Amino acid sequence: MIRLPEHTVNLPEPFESFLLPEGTKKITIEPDERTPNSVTCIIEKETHTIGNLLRMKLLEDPNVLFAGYKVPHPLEHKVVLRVQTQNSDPTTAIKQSLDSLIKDCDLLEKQFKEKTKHDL
Amino acid sequence: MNERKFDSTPEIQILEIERDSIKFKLSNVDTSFANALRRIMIAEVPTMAIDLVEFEVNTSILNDEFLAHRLGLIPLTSSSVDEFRYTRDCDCELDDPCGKCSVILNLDVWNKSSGDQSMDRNAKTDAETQLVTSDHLKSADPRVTPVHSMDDDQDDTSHKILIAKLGPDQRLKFKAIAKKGFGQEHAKWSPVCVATYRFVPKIKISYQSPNSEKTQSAYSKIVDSCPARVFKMNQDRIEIENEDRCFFCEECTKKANELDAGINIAIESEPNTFVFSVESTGALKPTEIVLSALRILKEKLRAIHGRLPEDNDLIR
Repeated sequence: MIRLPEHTVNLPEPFESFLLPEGTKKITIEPDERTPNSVTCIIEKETHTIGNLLRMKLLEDPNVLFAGYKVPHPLEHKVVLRVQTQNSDPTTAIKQSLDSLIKDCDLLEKQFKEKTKHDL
Repeated sequence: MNERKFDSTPEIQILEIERDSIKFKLSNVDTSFANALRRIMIAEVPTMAIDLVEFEVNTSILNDEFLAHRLGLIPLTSSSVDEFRYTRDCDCELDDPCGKCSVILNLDVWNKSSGDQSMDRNAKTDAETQLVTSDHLKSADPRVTPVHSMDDDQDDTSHKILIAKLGPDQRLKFKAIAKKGFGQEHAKWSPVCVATYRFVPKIKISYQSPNSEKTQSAYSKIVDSCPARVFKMNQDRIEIENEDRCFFCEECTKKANELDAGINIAIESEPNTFVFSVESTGALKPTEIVLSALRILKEKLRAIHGRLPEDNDLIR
C-alpha cells in the first residue's frame, strides 16, 4: 500500500521523483510514424542516471542509427529516449543494451566482492 | 571521443581502503557508466536517518523544527538497512510505526546544575552548560545507533555530535523515529560525503632539439611551472615524478610553448578509465556503498528490461 500525505501546499512532494503512482506504466513505447525502425520510449521516474547510460550503450551498437534522450522538464520525472535502428526492432536493441549493462554490473559486482573480501 | 566496443569487459582495481573511504580505478567503461555509479551512490543507496521527532519537553533555546533538522543529519549505522522496509511499503499504521520500518531513539537530558554564585561569570557559564550530544540518543535497536559509538575506545567528546547546549534547569526530552530512505528524497539519507571520479592523466614529453645550456634553464622553468609538482629534473632531462598528482592545468604545456625550447609536453587522459574516491558519512562502510550502488543499478536496469514489451509488433 502506498500512503500519500495530505496535500496542503502546491510544493511538489519529495517522493514524486521516484515513486511510480499506482496505475501508471513504467515504460510506454510509441513507434515513430515518419521514420522506419524508430521508437520513442518514455521511461517514468528515471533520471539522467539511466537516460545517459542507456543512450551511450545504444550508440555502441553498430546497428543503431540514432539514440538520444531528454528529460523534458525538471519537474516531470521522466526520460524520453528515441532510438532508430538500421533494420531490426529498436526494442530488441534496447533489450540488448540493457543485457550488456546488466552483465557489466554483474561482472563488476563479482570483481569488487572478490577484491574486497578481506575488508568487507 | 574514444570508440568503445559493445562488449568490452569492464574492470575494477582497488587502490586504497580506509575505515571510511575507498579509492578504486574503474576501467573499460564509458563515462556514462561511471557517472551513473556516482549518481546512484549519492542519491539512491538507502540508509537510516531520523525522520520524525516527537518533542515532549524542549526548554532549550533552540526551537523544535531546528532541532529536528539537526537530528535528521546525524548519521546512523545502517549496515542492516536491507532488513528494514520503507514506511510507505509497510503494513503498520502511520501514527504507530513498527519495528520493521522504523527505529525509535529516545533522549532525555535535564541540566540540573544550580549555579555556584561565588564563581566569576565566564567560568560559571562554562560549568553550568550541559552539552547534549548524539551519545545521549538511546536507540531501541542495536542495529541502528548514532555513528560515533562505533569507536567505543574513543573517550574524546569531539567524536560525538553536538545537538544542543543546555543552560541551568533547561531540559530536552523527545522521541525520534528513524526511517529508511535515500538521498533523492532528502540529502540526510545520502551515505556519502564525497563521491567523485577523475580521469587518469597520461603525460607525454617529446624532445625536438638537442640539449644546450639554453634548454637546460627552460627545462627547470617548466619543472617549476607545475603547481602539483609532477616533474623533476633528472640530469639534463625532465622526469615525471608523480603522474597521479597532475590535475590537467596544462601549465607545463603552456610554459613549454612559451619558452620555445624544443620540448613538447602533451597531457591526455587515459580513455575509459576513472579513479573514484568515495567517502562515507559513517552510515555504511565504503565497500558497502559501492556494492549497494552496483546492485541498485542492476536492479533498475532489470526493472526496465522486464517492463519492455515482449514481442514488438509496433514496427511494420
